[in-house]
Formats: sequence, structure tokens, C-alpha cells
Amino acid sequence: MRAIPIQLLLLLFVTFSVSAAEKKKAFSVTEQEKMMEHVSGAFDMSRNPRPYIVYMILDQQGSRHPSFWCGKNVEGKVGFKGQLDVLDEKIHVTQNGAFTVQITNSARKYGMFDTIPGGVWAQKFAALNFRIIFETFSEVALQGLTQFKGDRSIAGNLVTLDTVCRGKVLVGERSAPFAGKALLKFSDQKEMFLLHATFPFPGQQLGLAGAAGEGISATIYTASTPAVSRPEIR
Amino acid sequence: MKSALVPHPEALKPDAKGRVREAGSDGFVLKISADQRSVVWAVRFKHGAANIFPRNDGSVLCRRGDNLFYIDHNGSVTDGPTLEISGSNMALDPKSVAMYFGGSYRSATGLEPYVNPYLYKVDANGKQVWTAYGWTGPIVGVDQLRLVADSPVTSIRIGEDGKLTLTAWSDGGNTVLGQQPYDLRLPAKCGGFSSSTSETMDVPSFTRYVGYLPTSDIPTLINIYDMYRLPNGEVAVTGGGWTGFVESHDAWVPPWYVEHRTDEFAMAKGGPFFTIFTPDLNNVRIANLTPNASGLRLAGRGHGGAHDLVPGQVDQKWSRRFPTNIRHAVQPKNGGGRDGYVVLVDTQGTPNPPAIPNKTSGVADKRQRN
Repeated sequence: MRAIPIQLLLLLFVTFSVSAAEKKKAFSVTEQEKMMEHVSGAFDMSRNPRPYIVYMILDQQGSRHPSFWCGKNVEGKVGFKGQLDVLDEKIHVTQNGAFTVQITNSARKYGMFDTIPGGVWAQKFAALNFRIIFETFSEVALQGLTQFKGDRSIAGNLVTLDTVCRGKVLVGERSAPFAGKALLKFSDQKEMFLLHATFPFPGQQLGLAGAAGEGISATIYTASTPAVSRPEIR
Repeated sequence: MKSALVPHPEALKPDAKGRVREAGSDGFVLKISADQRSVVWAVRFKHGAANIFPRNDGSVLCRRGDNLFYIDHNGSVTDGPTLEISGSNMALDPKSVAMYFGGSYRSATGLEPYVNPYLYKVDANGKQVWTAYGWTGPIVGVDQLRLVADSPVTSIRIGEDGKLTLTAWSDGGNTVLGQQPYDLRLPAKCGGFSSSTSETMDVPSFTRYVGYLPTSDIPTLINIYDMYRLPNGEVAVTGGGWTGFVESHDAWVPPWYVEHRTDEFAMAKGGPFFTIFTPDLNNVRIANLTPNASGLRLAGRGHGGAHDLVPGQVDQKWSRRFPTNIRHAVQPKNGGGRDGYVVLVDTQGTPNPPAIPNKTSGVADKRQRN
């Protein structure tokens, strides 16, 4: 009489555990498939969702005066494709293609061009053809689906990828490589992505002499237009 | 009486197309004797007026365009340096001899914001030291900031502590003036249409000055025409508002919200006003309507507050509704046309903040209505 209730309890427990695991697995796969779709697509980065979509900030260690810049996407096609690894059931994102953004506007900080990072460029800006080329996004880690907040250029939820970005900065005749972190946020509604990249800015290699070129970090935002094509995922 | 003439040959030089610009009328600077009965000296500026700023050594700094002149206490004129950069509104710090220029420029991008503020500091040699604000329109309008409200700096005053106080207007709440003038990512401590910028470009306090219509729960427009920093750091402003001006308890004209207690049809008031803010700009000592006297300019008594004075104008609309509230007036009634006023305001007393009127009963909150 005493053994029967215990067996019943165990049976119930095991049954519940198995069904919960099955449910979680099924839900996760569906969710991952959706996210794979959201992060996949080919984007024409010669197009701009709005004028002055590129926003750049240069901060210098020890200085309270950052410099602010803006510009546009100018060229390149970049593609992303999410694939589900059946072994670890994780999404792996591959990327191909590079794209270029151009800095077209600087602030009118007269009297401070020696103080703000990259300020010497602001005085003869038009001739410099200041560009940043994003070549690769590697070590991609999926952060998951987050609710959209803030930026009104993109709506709905965002699938965020944590990546390591690499590329080149070109200022006039000089160019220098960079590597840093980039967040790629893909919209689940608009088939577009936002880029938020931060990296140590190679100021000295680009001709900023002495202390003016040291300890600079760059923060760059841009956004794509809707994908021109999307790969078949399912 | 000693007199001097400052020529302006540049005004008659032909431009690139060979046209000679029409020269303006002459301006002058006078020194009036202490008993105000005679002119001690006069300096005449050919083809254009000059801004004047008293200096601590008793001389006067004059600015005509980008050129500076000094007039000593005897009325002798010497040329000063040429300014590297200048702007529409100028202020001189008598202690450091630094000059500040504020104003705005128009963005040519066709995108908001169209009106962008700047504030320049120029040293005694005319060399530019720094720029505060001065962001271009596209930068403050990017998606990450969206500070797209038009926002010019309209006046600058310098207190005895060396701190600057600015006035500006904005056509929306999303103004770049709400950020620190050196870093767009940092919000100013309080932020707004009247701000205080120190030597370090930090904005330690700022306030938005608007009217309020409780019957419809909306803010209303206010214009600030002049501003003066009192020696104790308080800030006096004059201006005008269309309606819904919020007065303090001891206002010179009975406040609307007092009348509304007994008369539900009492109308919210507007018109020219005079307000004194506390030094942190977080409250007002007194806020009054000044019926009949619009266009008031402020000057400190015995504190070197002189700047370009213009005659006040009679406020035609509100003079019909309210009699003048000036006590012991030499001319008690509006004489017709344009009258000038000289009003001495006693700024002593305890702070007397305004009571922001509650929404009128029976009118739903705007957020609830939506």
C-alpha cells in the first residue's frame, strides 16, 4: 500500500520532464528558424535608407572633446546567411562581401581643430575622401531576439549578432587596417540591419602626428536599406 | 566737448562685381556727464553703428563688423585687432577681456534642423579660442540623436563670476541645447531655452521657459527679448507670451489662476512680461506681466550692464485690457503711439515661486483623451 503512491509520483515526474524537454526543443527550433531568416539576406550598401545615415564619433583618451561626423553608405554588397548546425543546434552566420561608408560632414568647431580627434581633417574635409571599408564580420555570436527600443529607423524586434569586424580606414592617400567589435541588429519586420561598430582608430597610421593620433576610438553607426534578396532557409 | 571720427573706407569699396555698397548711416557713442546735463565726449562711427561694451579700466570696447576699437576715458579712439570670427550677438567679459559671440547659421541640407546654434569664444587679440555647439544640421539630425528642433542662440550675458548665461529659442523639445555643447551624448543638467555656460563649456543648469494653458493642458509660446544677470547670480528676463503666462503669487497683475477660482470664464493672460529666475534657473523669484510695455530692455544699476538700448514699444493689444501697473508714473496713461518707459525694479525680497495651475476640472488629461 505504501509503495504504490511513490511509484505513481515518480511516473508523473518523469512524464512531465520529458514533455517539457520536447516542448522546449520544438519551440527553440522554430524560433531559431525565424532568426535565421531575419539575419539572412543580401544588402546593397550603395543605397541609403535616409540621408546622412552614417554617424561617427571619435573619442580620445584623456580628452573631454570628442569629434562628431556623419556621412553615407557609398558602395558594396554584403550578404549574411544563417545556418542551423544540427550537432549543437546553434545558428552559425556566414558573411561575404564588403561595403564602404563615406564621412561627408564634420562639425564646425572653429578654434578646436587641434583639440578634437581628427580635427585637422575637418578643415580640408572635402578633398580627403574619408572612407571606412567593412570587409569581414567574424566570430559571430547570436545574442537572440530583443525588443526594439529607441532608433525609429527600424521597427519591431531585433536579432542581434555580436561580431568582430575588420576593415580599412582611408583618409586621403593613406589607409590603415582596423579590427574591433560590431553589433549587427537585424529587424524581424523590415528586412534591414543596423550596424554599431567600435574599434581603436588607427590615427597615427593615417597621418595624425604625435599625441593627436594616439588613444582614439571610433564608434560608427549605419543602417542598410531592405535586402535585395534573401536566401531560402527552410 | 571732445569729438572723434572713426572712418570706414571699406564701406565704400566696390565689391567683386564692381558695385559700391550703399553706405549706412553713421553711428555714435556718447559719454554723458554724471549729472546727465552735458556730453563729455562723442565718437562718430562713419557708415554704421558699433556695439559698445564697458571695460574694467574705464575704457569702452566698440565692435563694428569684424573690427574692434577702444575709446579711453578721454574719448580718444585707438584701433583694436581684427576679429578672426564674429557673430550676431556679442558679449565681453570685463575681467578676462574675452569676447563671446552667439547666433545661428542655416543648414543648407534641406533637412531638419534648419537653424543651428553656435557660441564662439575669442581672446583679446581677436583669435578664436573655442566653439561650443556649432554642430552641423546633419550631425544633430542623425537617427541616433534626432535633435531636429531649430535652435539659435539669441543673447549672451556674463555675470560677475565670469559665467555665461545664454538665451535661445527652440521650436520643439528635441533641441540640441539640451545637450552639453562639447559632447552631443551628454545631456545638460536641466537644459533649455536659457542656459548657463561656464568657461569649461559645461552647462550646469538650464531651464525651459514656456507658458501653460490648463484648460487645454498644453504649453504655450514665450519669447525672451532681453536678459540680465544680477550680481547675486539671479537672472532677469523680459519678453512676451501669447497666452497662458504663469505668474507668481505676488504678480503685479492678478494671476489668472486666482481669478479663475471665482470666475470660471476668466481668460488666461499673455503679453509682455518680466521675470527673475533663481541662480540655478530652477525656479523664479517673481514672474509678472507688464501690460503696456513690450520690448523692455534690461540694464543693471551701477553694475556696468550697459548695452545697446532700444526704445520700448507700447503693447497695443494688452494695453486695452489692462492699465499700466507702474507705480508713481510720471505719465500714468498710455500717451498713444509709442511710449518709452524707464522702470526701476527693486530686486530684493524672498523668492516667490509661481504656482503652476492644475488642469481645469472637467477637462480630461490629454494622454487619457488619446
